[in-house]
Amino acid sequence: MRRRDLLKLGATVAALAATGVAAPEPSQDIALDFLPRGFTGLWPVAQAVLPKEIGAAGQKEALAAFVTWIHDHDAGRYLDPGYGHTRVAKSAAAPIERYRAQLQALGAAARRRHGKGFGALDLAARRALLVEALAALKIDGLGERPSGRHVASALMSHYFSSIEANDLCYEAEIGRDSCRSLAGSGERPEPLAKAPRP
Amino acid sequence: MTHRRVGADVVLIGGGITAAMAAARLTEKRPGLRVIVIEAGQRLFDFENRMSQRERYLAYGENPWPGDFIPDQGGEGVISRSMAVGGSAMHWGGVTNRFSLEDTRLRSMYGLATDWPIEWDELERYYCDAERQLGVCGEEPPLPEDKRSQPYPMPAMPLSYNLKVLKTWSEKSGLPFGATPAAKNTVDGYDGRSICMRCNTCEVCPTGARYSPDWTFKRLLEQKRIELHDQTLVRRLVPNGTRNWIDSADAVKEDGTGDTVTYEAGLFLLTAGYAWSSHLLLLSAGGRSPGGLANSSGLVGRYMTGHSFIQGWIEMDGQLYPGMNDQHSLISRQFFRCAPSSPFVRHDLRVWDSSVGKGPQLKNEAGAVLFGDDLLSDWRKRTRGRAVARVRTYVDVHPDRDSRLTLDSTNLNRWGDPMPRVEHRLDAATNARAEATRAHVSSLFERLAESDNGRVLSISEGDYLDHPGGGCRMGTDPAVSVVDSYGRAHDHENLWVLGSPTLPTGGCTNATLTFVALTLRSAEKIAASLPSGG
Repeated sequence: MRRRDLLKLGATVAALAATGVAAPEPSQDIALDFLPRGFTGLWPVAQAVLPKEIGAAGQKEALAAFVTWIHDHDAGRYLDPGYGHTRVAKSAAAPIERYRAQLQALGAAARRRHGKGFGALDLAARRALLVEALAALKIDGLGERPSGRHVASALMSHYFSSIEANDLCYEAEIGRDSCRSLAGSGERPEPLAKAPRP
Repeated sequence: MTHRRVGADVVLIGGGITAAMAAARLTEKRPGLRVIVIEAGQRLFDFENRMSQRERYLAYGENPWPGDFIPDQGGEGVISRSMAVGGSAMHWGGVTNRFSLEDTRLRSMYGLATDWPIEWDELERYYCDAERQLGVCGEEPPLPEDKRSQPYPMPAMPLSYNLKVLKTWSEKSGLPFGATPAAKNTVDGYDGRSICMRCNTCEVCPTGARYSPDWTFKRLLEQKRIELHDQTLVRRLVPNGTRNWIDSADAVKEDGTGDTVTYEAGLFLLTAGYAWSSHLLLLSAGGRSPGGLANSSGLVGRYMTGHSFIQGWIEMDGQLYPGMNDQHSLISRQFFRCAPSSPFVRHDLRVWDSSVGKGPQLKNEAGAVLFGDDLLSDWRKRTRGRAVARVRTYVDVHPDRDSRLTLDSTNLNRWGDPMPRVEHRLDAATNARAEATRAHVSSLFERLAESDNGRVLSISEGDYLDHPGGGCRMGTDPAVSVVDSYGRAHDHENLWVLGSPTLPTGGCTNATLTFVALTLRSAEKIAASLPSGG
C-alpha cells in the first residue's frame, strides 16, 4: 500500500462509518478495523476475488487501498476529455451507497440460498453468487479503472490495475507509471522479490 | 460592467505555444515594445500541483489540467478543448519530429496539392532554432536525406529495455529505426527545467522535463517583456473603414465581470491555433469584408489539413515489461521519401511497446468469470513469451478546398457568437490512392511481423485527421492563399497569422515543431518590419 493511502485510512474510517447502517459480518480472523460499518461484508468479497497468492495481509492491503479509493472519489469533477475531443464529462456520483446496497444484497442472497451469511460461505459458493451478480449487470470486463457498477468488479479492477498486481503478474519490479531516473533505462526490470506471505 | 481601451505596439491573440515563441523572439529582437498577449482561458501557473493532479488523473481519470477550458467555448470536429495560457501544448506528448523537403514541394515533385512558399534550407535552420527553444533531445538520423545542419541540443532519450528489444526486432525488416526526438530534458537544468524521470504521463509532466509554454510565459512576465491578459476573449477584429488595416480588437472578460476591452495596436498577431484563428477572422465579417477579414481569396477556413493514420498491433516472440516510459517510441523516416516515378505514398512509422491483449481479464476465452489466482494465472499466461508492439503510420493526405471551418449558427457561446465547426475533406487525388495506401501499410506491417514468429493482430484507421492545421494557408499568390510565407495577411498590412493555420498541407508526422519553426521565422520578420525605435 502506498504511504499516502495509509495516512488517509483514519479519515476514511471516520467518514464512511458515519454513513454505515448494516451489522458487521461475523467470523473474521484478521483485523479489519479500517472497514466502516456497512462495509465489513467487503472482506469476504475480497477473499473471493483477490489472489490467494498475495496472502491475507496482501488482500487486506488491497482492500484498504480500495476503501481509500472509494473515499477519495469526488463527484462532479471534470474528466480528462482525451486527445482532440470536444465534449467534456464529469465524474459520476460516488458509488458508496450502491456498493453498500450490493453488499447487503449479497448477504441476503446467501441467506436465501444457503441459510447463512455471505462471509460464512466457502469460496466456491461466494464466487457463484458473485458470478450471478455480475451477470445480472452484464459486466464482462474490468476496465482501466473501477466503475461504480458493482463492488466486486470494482475491487478487482482496482487491485488488478495496480502497480503491485502488475509487478506480481510479470514477477518483475516494473513499477508501472512510477517516476524514476533515466539511468538504467535500458535494463530489464529486476525479478520481483518473493516476500513471505502469512 | 466597465469598458476600457488599451494601447500596445503588438497584440497577440491566443496564448498557446505559438504566442509563447512569437512573444519571446519578438521581445528579444525588439526590446522595449509594449507587447500584450490575450488569452481567453486562464493561466495555470501551478506547477506545484502537477504531481497531485497526475495522481487524480491516474486513479480517477480526472482532467489533469483543471480549469483548462471554457465550457461554452467549444466547437464540433477535431478541436482541442484546451483553452488556457499555454493551450494544447500544456498537455502535448512533446514529440518533435521534422517534416521533410518533400512536404514543401508536393506540387513540383509529385504534381499534388501545392508547394510551400519557403525553401527547405531556410526552414531547416528554423527547425534547429525551434529545437533549441523547446529543448529537444534526439539522435543523429540514420538516413542522409535527414541530414541536420546542427546537432540536437540534448542527447536522445535513452531507449527503454522494451524499445531495445523492439529496435532489434523492427530492424530485421531492413528499415532503420531510432529514438523519436522529443521536447524533454535528458540533461538536468536545460533551460531551467529538470531532467525527465520517465513518469509515463507526458500529458501531465509532473517534473517539468517536458516543454510546456507556461515556462516561457512565466519567464517573459518575470522579465517584464510582455503583459498577459488572460480570461479575455477577443470577439471581433475591427478593420479600418478605408485602409487595409486592423484598427482594434474587441474583447470581453471571461472572469465573470463581463467587462469589455478594446485593444488598439500597430500590429495584430493571430496566434490562436488552427481553429480559433480562422474562426475569429470569419467572426469579424462586416463592412468591406462581408466574408470575413483577410478573406478576399475566400479561403479563410478552407484547406483545413492534418494527417490521417493507420495503426496496428503485432505480436511476436519475446518478453516485454510494459509500464516503463511507454510514451517513448522508435521512429523510421524511411517512407518520408517517395520516388516520383512510384505510386505516391508517404508516412512516418512509429513503434511502441504495448500491453494490448496483455491486461487482466474478467473472463477467460471460454467466457467463464475468473477470480483471484485463476485470474492472475490467466493474465500471466497471456504475458509470457509473446510480446506486442503497437505500430502506427501518419499518412500524408491533402485537403480539399472544401475541407472547412465554418461558423455554426446552431451552437452559440454565452455572448451569442457562433462556434466553429470543422469538417475535414480530402482531395480527389488522396481519395483515389486510399486503397493503395492501405495495401502498402498493411504490407509493411506484415513485413515487420515476419521476423520473430510475428503476426499482425489487427489494423485500424483513424477517423479524423491528427495534428490539424490550415485554414489560413500561406502562399505567394493572394488569389489562392490567405497569408504570405511569413504569415502576413495579403489583405491587411498589420495583421499576421502565425503557426499552424498557415500550413498548406499537414505532413506525415507530428507537426508542433513545424508550427514553432514557422513562428520563429515569422517573428523575426515581424521584428525586422517594425520601424526602428519601436
